[in-house]
Amino acid sequence: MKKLLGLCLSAILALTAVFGATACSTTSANDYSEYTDDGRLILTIWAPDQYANATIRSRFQAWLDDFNETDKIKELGVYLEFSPFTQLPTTLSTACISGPHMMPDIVIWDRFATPSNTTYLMPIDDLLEEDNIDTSVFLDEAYDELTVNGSQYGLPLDADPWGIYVNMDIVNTYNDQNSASAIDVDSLDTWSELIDAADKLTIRDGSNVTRSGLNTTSADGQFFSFVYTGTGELIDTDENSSAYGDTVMSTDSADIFTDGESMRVYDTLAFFKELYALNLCNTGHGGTDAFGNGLLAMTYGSIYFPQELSSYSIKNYKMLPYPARDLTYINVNTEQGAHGESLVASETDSTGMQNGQVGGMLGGYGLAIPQPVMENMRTDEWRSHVEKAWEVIKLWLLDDEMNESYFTANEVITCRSDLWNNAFYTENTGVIGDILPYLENYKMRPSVAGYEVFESSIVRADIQMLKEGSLTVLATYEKIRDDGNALLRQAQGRS
Amino acid sequence: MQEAQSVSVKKKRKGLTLKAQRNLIGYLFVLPALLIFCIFVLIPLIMSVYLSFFESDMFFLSMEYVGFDNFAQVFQDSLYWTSILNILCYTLMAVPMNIILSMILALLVNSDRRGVKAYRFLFYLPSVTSTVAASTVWLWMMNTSYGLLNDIFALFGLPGGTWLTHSSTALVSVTLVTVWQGVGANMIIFVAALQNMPTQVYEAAKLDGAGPLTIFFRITFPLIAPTMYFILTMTLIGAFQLYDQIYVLTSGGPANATLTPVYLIWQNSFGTNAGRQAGYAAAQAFVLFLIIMIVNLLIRRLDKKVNG
Repeated sequence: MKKLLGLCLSAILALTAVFGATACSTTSANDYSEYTDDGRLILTIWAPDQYANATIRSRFQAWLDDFNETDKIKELGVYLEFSPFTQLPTTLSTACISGPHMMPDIVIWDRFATPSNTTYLMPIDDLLEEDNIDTSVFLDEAYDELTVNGSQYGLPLDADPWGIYVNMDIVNTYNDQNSASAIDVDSLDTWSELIDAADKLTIRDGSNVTRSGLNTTSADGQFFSFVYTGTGELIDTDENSSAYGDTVMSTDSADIFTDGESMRVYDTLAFFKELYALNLCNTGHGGTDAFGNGLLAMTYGSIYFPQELSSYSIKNYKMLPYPARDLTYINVNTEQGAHGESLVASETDSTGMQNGQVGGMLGGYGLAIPQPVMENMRTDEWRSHVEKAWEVIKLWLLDDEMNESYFTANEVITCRSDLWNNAFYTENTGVIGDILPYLENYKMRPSVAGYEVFESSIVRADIQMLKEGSLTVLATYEKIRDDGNALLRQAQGRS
Repeated sequence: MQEAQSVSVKKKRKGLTLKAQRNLIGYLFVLPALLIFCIFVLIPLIMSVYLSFFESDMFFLSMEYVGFDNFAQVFQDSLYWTSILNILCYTLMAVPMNIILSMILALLVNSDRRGVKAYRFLFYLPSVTSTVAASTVWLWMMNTSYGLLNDIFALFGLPGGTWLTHSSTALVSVTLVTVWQGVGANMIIFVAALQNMPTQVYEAAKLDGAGPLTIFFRITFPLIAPTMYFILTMTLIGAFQLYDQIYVLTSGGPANATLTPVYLIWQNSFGTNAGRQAGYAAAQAFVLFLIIMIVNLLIRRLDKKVNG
């Protein structure tokens, strides 16, 4: 009897689980569409947390309201609604396993995160081919950032260059009081000049920094930009190379100071150590608040930063590209220890690496269409949403008038490089005008699986230890290389 | 007609005994909890062990059997072992601090004096506060520039702490927050244990001239040892599973100084490193499970040795 009872209970349990799962998986994949009073299909757009910022959100919403009222969108028979999300990839993955009724129709997608999230982004290769889309109008690197293993997962929306923001009121006040050693912000082109200007703009009370010259608390996040403007790379992205997907950093200790790629990474680490040693920044002056309130003269930010600053009193600021490397820490003062540990930089680049360029790291978003994870949830109704979403994306990005309306309303730079000659860009007197001449020197972060966590968990963590003095430059270099390669190989499924 | 009824009663009795009927009612009461346990604990547990032998995404779409490769990778993963080291350090700080403080608070509020209930409520309040909300407040309090804690230090002419911004202080700061939040719940359990103590033993001890310390170490402590064992086990398991405070306060930084295994597993499953890492994350979770189990077995053995 006990056995029979146990069997019955097990059967009930199994049936409940099966029916529960089935119910979850099928009922909601159909009949979920909603319409406006005038019969337009409502499509939802999800955006990352940056769009939750009050200014960015209100500008986007205002543009969306206008977009919804255009004849072109009305002809499509759709109405767009939007919501920003923190942890968008996580939320999206949950939505895509739940079904179309929980999913957005379009997602404003951080291109950087594409390689790790292809499961729930729909490849659009067929759509591109069917509509014979000329993808060459997009900035190549931005377009490629949405390409994984030969499949395209979206179209690039904006070009988001990062740069150094300078509080011009602080600089002007300094220049008025120190005409002999004035800072020329327009020629802040090299690492040496950046260090010099930062030191001049820092005000110290003993060892306490009361006004920070340069934000060094979040400099670790800018490592790629400084390596790149030092003409270096972090990851080998040459698919024909035997070391594809690894760091470019030499594993042979003898080669570190002779191999060009390795030296550039080493030099950047040594440069960071110098920045930290100069005590240029109060630990509490790392955020937008400090820059907005005049406690920090120079900081890092994206092209969206002015929108974050709009709630502060600061109005007179300028955006600069990352400066070029003009010095090397290799082969100097070796009698005092390892290369670069003495923190005395050589004015002469003995290894002939003076091709530094001003530019930096280019981020940005794309427009992608999410897909349900389960094949059986990809219903006809969902496909009809996809058709409409694709039409919206084409209208948004490929219609010149619509593209311009979006970027002028939101004051950011389009990835349509063929539109950069428009008056909005060429006559821009804000940060877009500041940075546009250098845009061709900007570069995306490496698009390989595992790069995000390599940067956040390995590079930034090890540079923090360098900053705290618990690692030497050489030890930091070796740790980034060894831990980084292990992590990248694991993420890329290589042994 | 009567005959037919008596036959049917007989048949019924034959089908289900009184004991079976009682058991059935019991099983029916247990069924909802059992269903929830199976769906949300047992099945995911089995699936997670199964998943650890595959390279797979979270949706089991493209699974490739890799045998013990994921486990081999765990043992070579420096980030994972950094997180294990962090959680061991955290456990060594947080668990004793939590138990000692909750015991002291329990002894203080275990009386019938006026106002004691208000203190019990106040001490217990952090435990019922949302972890995210409380951690966000602590994040502000520990801000090195604008934070309340450094302002208080400054009042006394003391230099401000680096709190969550330096790798040498971040884990200690997180420990302070978690202990603050966890101590109330353990205090309530200790109070419950203290209130069940036989009063005659205390009276006898007092008559024999025992002081408060002697009473505590010779009577109270041995009598609440089972409760202590329970609290130790639960606090230890909770410590090894530290996640939400880390998510809000430090995101595992600075310099991975507060990276915990559960946070890392989350990152591999759902966070920045998600992708085809779900199988690997499951292997990491399984290794963590083994570590927790070993630690608990050691404590159990220790408890048996001490308390018999």
